[in-house]
Amino acid sequence: MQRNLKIKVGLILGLLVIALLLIAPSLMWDYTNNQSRMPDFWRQARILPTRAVVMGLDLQGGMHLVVSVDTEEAVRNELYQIKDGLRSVFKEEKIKIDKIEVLSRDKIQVSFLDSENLKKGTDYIKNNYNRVLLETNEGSTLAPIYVLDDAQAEYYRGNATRQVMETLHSRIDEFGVAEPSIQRQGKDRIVLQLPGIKEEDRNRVLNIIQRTAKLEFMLVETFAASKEALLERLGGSLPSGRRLLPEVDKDGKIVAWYLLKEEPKITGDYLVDARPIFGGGDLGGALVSFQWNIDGARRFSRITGEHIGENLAIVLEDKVRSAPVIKDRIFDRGQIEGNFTPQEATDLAIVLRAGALPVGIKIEEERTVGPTLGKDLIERGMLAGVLAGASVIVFMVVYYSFGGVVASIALILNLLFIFAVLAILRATLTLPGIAGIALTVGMMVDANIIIFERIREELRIGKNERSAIEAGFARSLWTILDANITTLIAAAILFQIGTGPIRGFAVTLTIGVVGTVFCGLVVSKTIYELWFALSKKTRKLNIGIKI
Amino acid sequence: MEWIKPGVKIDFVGKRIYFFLISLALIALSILSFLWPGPNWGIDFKGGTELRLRFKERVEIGKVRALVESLNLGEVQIQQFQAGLLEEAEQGIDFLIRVEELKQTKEKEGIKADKLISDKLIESFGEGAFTVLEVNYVGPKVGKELRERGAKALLYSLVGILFYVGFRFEFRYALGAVLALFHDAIISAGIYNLLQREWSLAIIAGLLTIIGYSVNDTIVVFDRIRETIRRTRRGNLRELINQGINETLSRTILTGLTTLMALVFLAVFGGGVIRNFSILMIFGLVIGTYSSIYIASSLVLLMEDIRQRRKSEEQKKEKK
Repeated sequence: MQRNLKIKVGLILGLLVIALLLIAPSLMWDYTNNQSRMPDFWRQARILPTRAVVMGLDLQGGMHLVVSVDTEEAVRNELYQIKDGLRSVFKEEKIKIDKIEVLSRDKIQVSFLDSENLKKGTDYIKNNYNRVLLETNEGSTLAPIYVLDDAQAEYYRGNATRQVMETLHSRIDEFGVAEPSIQRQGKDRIVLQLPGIKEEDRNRVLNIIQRTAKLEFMLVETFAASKEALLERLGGSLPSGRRLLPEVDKDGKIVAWYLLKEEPKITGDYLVDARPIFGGGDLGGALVSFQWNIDGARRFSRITGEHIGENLAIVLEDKVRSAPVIKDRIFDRGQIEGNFTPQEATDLAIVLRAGALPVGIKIEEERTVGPTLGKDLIERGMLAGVLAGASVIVFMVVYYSFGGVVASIALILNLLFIFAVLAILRATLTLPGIAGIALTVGMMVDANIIIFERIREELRIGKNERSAIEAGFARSLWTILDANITTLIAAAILFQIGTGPIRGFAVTLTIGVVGTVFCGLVVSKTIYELWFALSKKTRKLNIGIKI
Repeated sequence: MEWIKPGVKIDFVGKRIYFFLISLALIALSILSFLWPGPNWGIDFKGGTELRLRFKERVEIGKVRALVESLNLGEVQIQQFQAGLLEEAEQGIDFLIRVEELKQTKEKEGIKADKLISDKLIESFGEGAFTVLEVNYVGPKVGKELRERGAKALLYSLVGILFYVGFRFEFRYALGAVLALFHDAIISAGIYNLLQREWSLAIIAGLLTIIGYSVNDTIVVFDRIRETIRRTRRGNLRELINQGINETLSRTILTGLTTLMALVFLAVFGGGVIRNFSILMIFGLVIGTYSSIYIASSLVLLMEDIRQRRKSEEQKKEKK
């Protein structure tokens, strides 16, 4: 045997062994319980691979969610903060203004009393907000309009998305999902992949993700049975620094309206812990007890201490949950009663522990597959794949006899390599991914047919077998490369533009195309060379035609 | 075994004008199919909620429909399927329920269509009568984005292929190949529209695959034509092209047939998106094979004819 051939055979066998080692954990994987069934010695040997090919959510079952973050709300919130900040510094600096207004999503107008104040005010803004607010030539002489700097707005947007992502991360962790994946997509999208969510948990998860969990404690000024009655008492308009919020019962029905003081207040940002307590509330049902951090406890004890005898409203997500009378100074603990079911209390505790969302979010896309369907699809996919592959192999062997056997070996090797590469890249196998593999089988067959037809042609013009095979492979090389590279172009674009499962298709197709070129051109040729090297005299080579 | 014997000599490009006319007619019909009957956009592109349920016992579709329609969720589509291949599911029945997007007001309150539907069905069939196999929700924004992304993917791959083939062959070959690919994609889409099967993301992947497959086919033929031209260095382009197509005919047919065989298995046994994908691919394969034989090379010849005619006209002018 030639040295060159020995190296090639060794290389292919080596790759085969590595591929088998990589695939073994997947074959032995218990996909229902998501754990390895490999024997102990395998797991103890550190260098052996233990991870199985990852099944996509469409096969394994689970939830795929795309949520969008209302980043404009973040910008708006910042703009209002700037407005409040300006109002108070102008007061301090004795700059007289008529009013400050937020005009649109990124504009703010300051109306000064006279030109003297205008000068002082604009200078102040120029010196202290030079990177934040830019003066425009809109507005009138005494009331210039400022626009929020683009880079600054972009920072607020990015920050909001980042914060939402962190919050969602801790909510999902608190809820307990095995191996979740939470990724940012573009500027304001977050993709959550939650494998193995049970049917009954789906609505809970949706609820936990979506709720803002904004918790506030505010002092009650007065309340009434209806909004109209309350407004009438106030003379038709809402005084400044006050908020009008409804109280709702367990079923979300409005039972009363409250007029609440915006200051002093304390928010859920100061919580360190929240736990559900089942039974024992005054109203019956479950409740949530919470604990403040040091800052929170200080504020809370001051507020409760100074306002004994008043009502303190517990406001969750802009709805009054209850408004008990402050009987005594309270330090670091408290509880939220609302006649919750145990599950509601558990979920509320989860979102309070994980923290509030800084801005609203919206679910843009949901794809949830139950485990039954996944099993169904894997079974059908496997059956279809095996039948397709087997029929192709039978055809090749019948049509090209020995040549077909060689092609089938190369084809099976290619399939092994695809799974091995999937395992090593930790790529995800999706349903379209299985279709991609099936297509690879087609490409592989094509490569072989191109080569065989070429070899037959060379045999017909009278070449001996060995040189016919040499020439057949050599002449097919660029045809096969060109054909596969163009497919690769389509696959790469699909990967760039596609989402979720479709990407799985692009991944298997790409791996498969590379494998096709390798197995079709290198592996099959090596098998032929080996055949010639092993047979002492030129053995008759049968590729299905008689010359 | 050898089905197509060596030495076949079929004049593929001779009747090119007829095949051009046939193809143009098919393309026109396919474009029309987007107006009538129009594509059956799935929720990936249209937005909405899709719910797949498996009932343990057989249930009348009419009853399910009446219950869902009583919720006033807008347009409702319900289909029934034989429950899976799994043995325990044989008694049961699957329903696919699809509703348009809920009205904005309801949406704001965080009410989900699928929750309303399953609550209603539990109310009348009882808890545990069915399991939810799958829930898909696509918001209107995402639907629009996915449509745009799909169109972009198709366009970019055609451009990518144009450049690669232009780089490896001559530009007129690249143009011939890409026009043929466009032809394949649009006619496959047209047939798919006529069958009124549902468009999903997987179908975009399918069209891309058809393009990939067909360019593969076309390149094998072009490669052979180029080789023949280099080898013989004489004869007119028309004969050389014919020779190239004839020499690769055996391969073209065999590859087509084996791939077809694999696709038929996928279409019959593969579930879910794989089935629609395979059905589309079957048509794409047939059309792709046809265009590689009759259209792509003929287009190259057409461009050559036009060039020759221009040349002779210019020469005439010069003589004058």
